[in-house]
Amino acid sequence: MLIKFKISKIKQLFYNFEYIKDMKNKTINIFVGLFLVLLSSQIFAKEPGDKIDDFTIVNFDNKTYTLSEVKDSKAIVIIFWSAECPFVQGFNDRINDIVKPYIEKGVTFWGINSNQTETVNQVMEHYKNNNYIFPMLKDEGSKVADIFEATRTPEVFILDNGRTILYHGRLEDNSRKEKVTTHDMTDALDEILAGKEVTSKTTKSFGCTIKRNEKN
Amino acid sequence: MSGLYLNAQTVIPLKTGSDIDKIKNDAAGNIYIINLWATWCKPCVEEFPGLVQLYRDYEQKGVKLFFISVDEPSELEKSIIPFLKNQNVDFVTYFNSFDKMDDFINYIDMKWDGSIPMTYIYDKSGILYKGFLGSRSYEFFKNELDNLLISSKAGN
Repeated sequence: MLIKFKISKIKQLFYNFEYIKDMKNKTINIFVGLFLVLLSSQIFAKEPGDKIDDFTIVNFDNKTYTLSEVKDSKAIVIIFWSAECPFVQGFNDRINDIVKPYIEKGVTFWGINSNQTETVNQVMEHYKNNNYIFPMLKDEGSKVADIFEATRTPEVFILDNGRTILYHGRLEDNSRKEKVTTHDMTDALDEILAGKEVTSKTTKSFGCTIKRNEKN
Repeated sequence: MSGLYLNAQTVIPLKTGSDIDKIKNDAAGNIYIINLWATWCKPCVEEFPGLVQLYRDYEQKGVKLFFISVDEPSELEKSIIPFLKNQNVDFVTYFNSFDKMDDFINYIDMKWDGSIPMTYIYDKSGILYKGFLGSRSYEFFKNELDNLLISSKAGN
């Protein structure tokens, strides 16, 4: 637990250190270089090909969710979510429509709320008000966000049954339905369900930073 | 130049990488800050006044500040300009108008994933000094700028 916590802090630190350049002090550069090599595996969000550590959440719906216990699923989709982020709220009206056909095809969807600024009650209310057809898990202490090294909402990870990432990125290229031109998450799922390799494994998106315990 | 932005906010669209290059080229020889924000982003809105104040306090020392909004371009009149007016911004700012979000994000920084607020400080040589993901206080940025100004003097 402590280690995870530290990794998140180190990541933040690293992001700052990483750009120190031309300090006119070679010793510092060497130090930064070493720092980079030592920590390179921990720095960025987990990416396609990486295996995700198992986790368990005892949720507000009185159910226990353990990643490794999801069996016989064609794929597992983890979406980091927020009850507040306006960029996420843009998806509220259509997220059920987006995921429904894939749930019917045997894909598992879990929403994860890792924002320490959003209370369990708030997340529960928001979940009920939006009638999501997939579970929303409250990630106390942002532990799951740390496992994925997730940074923003919305942020999607698609995993196979062995907890290996097949896709990491956005849901669609705009939170406003009328502006959407690419359906990146479902495109990846279509390929996975067809037994094909995902063409576009990583995409980027604007979004809100995940609020961990330290103020950011 | 003219009194164009005495009463109205000038917000310039960034459509291609060369538009971003132009900002950086115009700032050559100065320390400059690039802040990526949006009116929908609460922490961005919270840190915004601190950055404006920072610019007021450090403009004389040659520090430049470039706000780049990542709001939808269609929000320009409805959200971006009213917000800037409310913040008494009387200098030129920018907004993302790239066709593809990925292209904009990667052109700003390959390592940036698109989450905001994101702030970069560049040194006088135009080299990226530090990048900060998440909001920071006026005092935090002041401290960073002071350190950079001291090291720039020591180096020159």
